[in-house]
Amino acid sequence: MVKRVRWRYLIFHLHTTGSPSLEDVKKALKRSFRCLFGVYGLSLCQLKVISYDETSKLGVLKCPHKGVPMVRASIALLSDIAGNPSSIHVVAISGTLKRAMMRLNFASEKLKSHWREVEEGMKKPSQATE
Amino acid sequence: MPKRRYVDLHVKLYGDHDPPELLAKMAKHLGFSLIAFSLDPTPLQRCNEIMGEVKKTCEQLGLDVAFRLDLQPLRSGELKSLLRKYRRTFEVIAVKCRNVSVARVAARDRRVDVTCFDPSDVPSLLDESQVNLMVESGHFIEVNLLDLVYEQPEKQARALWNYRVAIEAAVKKGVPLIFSSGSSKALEMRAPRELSSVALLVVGNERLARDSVSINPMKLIEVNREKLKPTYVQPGVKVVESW
Repeated sequence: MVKRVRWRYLIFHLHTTGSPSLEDVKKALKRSFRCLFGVYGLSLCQLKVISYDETSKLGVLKCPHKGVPMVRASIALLSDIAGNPSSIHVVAISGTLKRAMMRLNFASEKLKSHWREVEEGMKKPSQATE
Repeated sequence: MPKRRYVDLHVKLYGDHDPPELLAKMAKHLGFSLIAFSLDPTPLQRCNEIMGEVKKTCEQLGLDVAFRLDLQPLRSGELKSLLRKYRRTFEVIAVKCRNVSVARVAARDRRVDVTCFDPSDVPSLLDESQVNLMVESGHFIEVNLLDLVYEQPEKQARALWNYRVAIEAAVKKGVPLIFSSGSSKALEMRAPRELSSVALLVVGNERLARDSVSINPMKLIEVNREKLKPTYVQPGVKVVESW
């Protein structure tokens, strides 16, 4: 009998100054993962972006539960998406898609209150001390 | 079981950096309980001004803040004079070792808390005698995520290899590891679990990796805060009552 794969759904939030499309996010995630773990690692960890909202910059990423630390590490080493400096923050992890979608909605409501001013700050030029 | 409190022990406030308020907001958003802003050696009065302003901002956000000094001396004499000048002002003193003489003096000196190395220098500087000295004086070793974020995979692989070989041996001997972002911009900061996943690639043990972003840096800050109190005399001795 084929062993059933236990999937995990990672709710992620993209921090970036640009506005990348779903394709850009997919490409960047796979590039970063393949760069760190190679093609063999990618074959062990079937990454799939389930959803991505360009306005709230929140999305859901699917991977096997054993691959979660690998995905997190590759996400941490990702530094740009489509030429813009970016970072990805895993907000929550869920075992079912239904629960992941609920958490996604909850996160998007929560972010509305405080994220805008952080994002505005990121777009300003950085300061230099003498 | 108590909830883990995560710490980013290295957020730079020198060179080209984002405003401290933005960095603090980002740290709060990512789930850190404490961040340590690092300064470079500037006049003490200027340091105190910056620290006062940043502390006020972080208190408003409900984020615990500590200050650290990053030293990159080229000679051991320079290191000693800087330590004499700044030790009582900062909670954490970190030394980036660039040559063997500085590395040995830093490892022997109890005023130094954290030692870090350039990824290319790790195999030559972090040898067995260096590790033994660090164990004796209770030093922490630090790895910054920013040292691993490279454009070229070859350089990244080399840095990971160097760190893994040297640090695995040091951690086995009992040198506690601290893994921090080393960022100076909000977009360079990473969440604690992401940091611990990268630490896992270096140490190869999940518990040690998780401790490197929570228990180890928190312990260091708590001990050093206690040391900076006027009642502290020496390890295990403090003024309880004076008359």
